[in-house]
Amino acid sequence: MTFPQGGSERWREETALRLLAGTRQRAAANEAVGILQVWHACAREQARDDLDVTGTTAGREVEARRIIAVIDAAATGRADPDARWD
Amino acid sequence: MDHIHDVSAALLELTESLRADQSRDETLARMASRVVTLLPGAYAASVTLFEGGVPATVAATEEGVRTLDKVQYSLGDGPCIEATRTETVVRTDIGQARRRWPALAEAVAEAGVETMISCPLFVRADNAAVQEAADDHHLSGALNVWSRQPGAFEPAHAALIALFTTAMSGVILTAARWGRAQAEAGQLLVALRTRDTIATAKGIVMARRNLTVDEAFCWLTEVSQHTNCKIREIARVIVADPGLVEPGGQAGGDVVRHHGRKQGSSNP
Repeated sequence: MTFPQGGSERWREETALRLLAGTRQRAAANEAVGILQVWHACAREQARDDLDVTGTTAGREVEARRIIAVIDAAATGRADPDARWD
Repeated sequence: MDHIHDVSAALLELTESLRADQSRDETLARMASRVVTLLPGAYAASVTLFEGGVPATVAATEEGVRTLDKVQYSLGDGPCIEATRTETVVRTDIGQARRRWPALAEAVAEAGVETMISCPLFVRADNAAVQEAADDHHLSGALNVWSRQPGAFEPAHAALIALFTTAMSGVILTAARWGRAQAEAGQLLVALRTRDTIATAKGIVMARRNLTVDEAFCWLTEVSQHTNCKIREIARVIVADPGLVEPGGQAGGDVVRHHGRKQGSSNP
């Protein structure tokens, strides 16, 4: 029942930035899993395995970014008559 | 002074040996054992903790004294209750107990106890967040020490016990803070998993409708508004069955209309 020291402002800021980066990476990985679910017509678990082809965190991140970039490049959302985000 | 030295050494040892894997009550039990060892004439000790206004014995060196505590809880009175209520040290002997708490005196006599002392646990904190945790649980309590010797526990001993109650209060507050942090971590974990599901649903919408990340989230928001369902619910349904998302160019607001109808793959 002991606690680490609160640390300096700089330590807190660095921790917050690490947390933010980690959260973004996690979101990107999950978005890529969703895309793979559609591409491979598979369940979420299978898509997770498919994303993790390199078996490393860095590899997973790169693959996720690549998959998202493919969709982004082909996105035709602004022509979608049902979307009203403009 | 020897006792003070012994108590200081014992407290130092206990403080240094506080372990993350040891529960609050285990730590309090170890401290209660130390009190019995160091306090002349002590036979047993117990720790009463009020949580949410309800008293409970969270640590005891002898099972028999739990009964004595319970009698006080059922009476709603006794040295332990009085010490907690008045935040003062209450020392009493079997004679005084017979006059003030006859039912307790009977149980005390059966246990062979002659003298008892109860010291309040000051569960106060100078840290606002920790105090909030203590207030949330309405924490208060007392350390109770029992002796089979008449006239045990001199005023100087009360000061020694007070050293332990200070340490025990620290343990209780730390545990309250720890519990609060664990609860918050649990809530964050749930939120993180919900985010995961929403992100996966976004990916599905991106792939099915050819949208960017931001556009996919806007699309989910619109569906949420049209169907009056929370985004996390919409996301859960989509992740379970991606085919429910109509391909790009078709009516998107009807995403949850076709439950059970799986669509084919659009693998590029």
